[in-house]
Amino acid sequence: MTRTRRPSPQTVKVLAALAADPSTWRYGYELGQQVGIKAGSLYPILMRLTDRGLLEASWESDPPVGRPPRHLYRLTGSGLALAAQVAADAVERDRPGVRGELRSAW
Amino acid sequence: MSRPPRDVAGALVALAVRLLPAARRGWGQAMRAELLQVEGGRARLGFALGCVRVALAQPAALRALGHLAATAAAVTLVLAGGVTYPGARFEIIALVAVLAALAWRGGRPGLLGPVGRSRTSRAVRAAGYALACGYLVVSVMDHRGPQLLGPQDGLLPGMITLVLYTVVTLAITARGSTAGPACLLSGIGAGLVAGLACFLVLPFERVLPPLADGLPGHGLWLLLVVAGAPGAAMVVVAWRTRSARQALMTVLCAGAVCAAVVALLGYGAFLLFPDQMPGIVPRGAGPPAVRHALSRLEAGDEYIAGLIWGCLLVAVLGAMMRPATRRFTRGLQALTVAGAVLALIGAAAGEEGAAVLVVVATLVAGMLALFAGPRGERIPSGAGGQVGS
Repeated sequence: MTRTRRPSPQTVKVLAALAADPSTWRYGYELGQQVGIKAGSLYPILMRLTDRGLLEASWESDPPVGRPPRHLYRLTGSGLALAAQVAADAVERDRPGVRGELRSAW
Repeated sequence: MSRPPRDVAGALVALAVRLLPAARRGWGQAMRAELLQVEGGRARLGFALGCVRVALAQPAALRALGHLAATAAAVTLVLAGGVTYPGARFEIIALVAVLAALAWRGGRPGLLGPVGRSRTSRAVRAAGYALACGYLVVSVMDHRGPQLLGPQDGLLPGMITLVLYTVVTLAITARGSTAGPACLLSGIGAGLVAGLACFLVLPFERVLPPLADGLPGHGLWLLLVVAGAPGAAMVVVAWRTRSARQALMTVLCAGAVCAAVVALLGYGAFLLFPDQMPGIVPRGAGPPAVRHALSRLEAGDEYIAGLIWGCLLVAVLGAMMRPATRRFTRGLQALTVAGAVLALIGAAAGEEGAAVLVVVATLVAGMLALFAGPRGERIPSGAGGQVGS
């Protein structure tokens, strides 16, 4: 039986930030600043989410003159579903009487 | 498109982009573009260091660091392990460097890598690496202290053989190899059986009666095993894969493994049971230690001959591994096969010096054919091989 591991707290933050406005494409650095995660941790999370088909990555189509296009990110349908599930799990865990069970992080 | 500013942060991100594997290079470009938006020296440096951390944590980068660490450890072992004779030191360190370079190439896409997806390919490659490491450790242990025979330490033939075998092992287990798991498994299995049988019927350490002498019929039936095991493996693979190339590679592989097994057992016996080995040289040849070293060298001649045949088969295997699509490669393949036949005739006619020269030329032709062949060739369906990358 396959067990779905719970995402790490940092991944949960990224998912929540992206799910807050799912239609908007986000920049990596700005996203990292918003959730308080440095590049060394943020990019592996973005890479993993992209590899698993949870995140869509695209290049800026019309960057300002003299500046290279930046990478943009937003959740896919599966990513949104995961974000919703993670948020629901968090609410369930925070209910009085329910003890959160820590598992290995992503 | 503007280039990133030439500061430390820019240089670090450029380094991260270079360190990232090809499949992640787009992420490197994303980091580079993002750095332009980061303001403030400290924030830029923090971002850039994060990018380098990401690049170093990639499996490919970790593998490269592992290679460097293993190479450094091996060189340290040679330098600190008591190998004081300059010639042996140089030869062993050169071997470490060559093996490290081959292992590095074996992890990158190309002729030698990455390893095929089948368990057989992985197991064969792992066994090859283990044997190479074992050879290095034994060489270091065996060459500690002053060398009684000076430059005639017999290290060089073994080194050349090891490098040739390693190159062909990497090529045959690479993702783009045309050798299927059935070919590898049958060829190696048959080679191990034939090698053991061959060792038993050969005069032990050149001067003693064969170990098979005590068996019924003096163990002459083992000769059937020597010829039959590779032949049977070839037939089985031909029947299963319906591919003449797979069958040919199987029998060549079996022969090469057989030769290596004979040499390993022969040298191993002298290493493991030095006191029970025969004294081949006369008593006046020097003090006991020198006589023992000379006896070992003399006894090893028989096994060196085996290794030469093994190298020849490895060269033919390397040459035939990839289908020749160019006239140049076809010429090299023909030259390799002709050289092998010529060497066989020369040795049978007692022209050993000429045969060795032909073998050397054949090795060169075989390796050239291997490296000149097409990369990532797909084998026909039903041939039981791996799909080229």
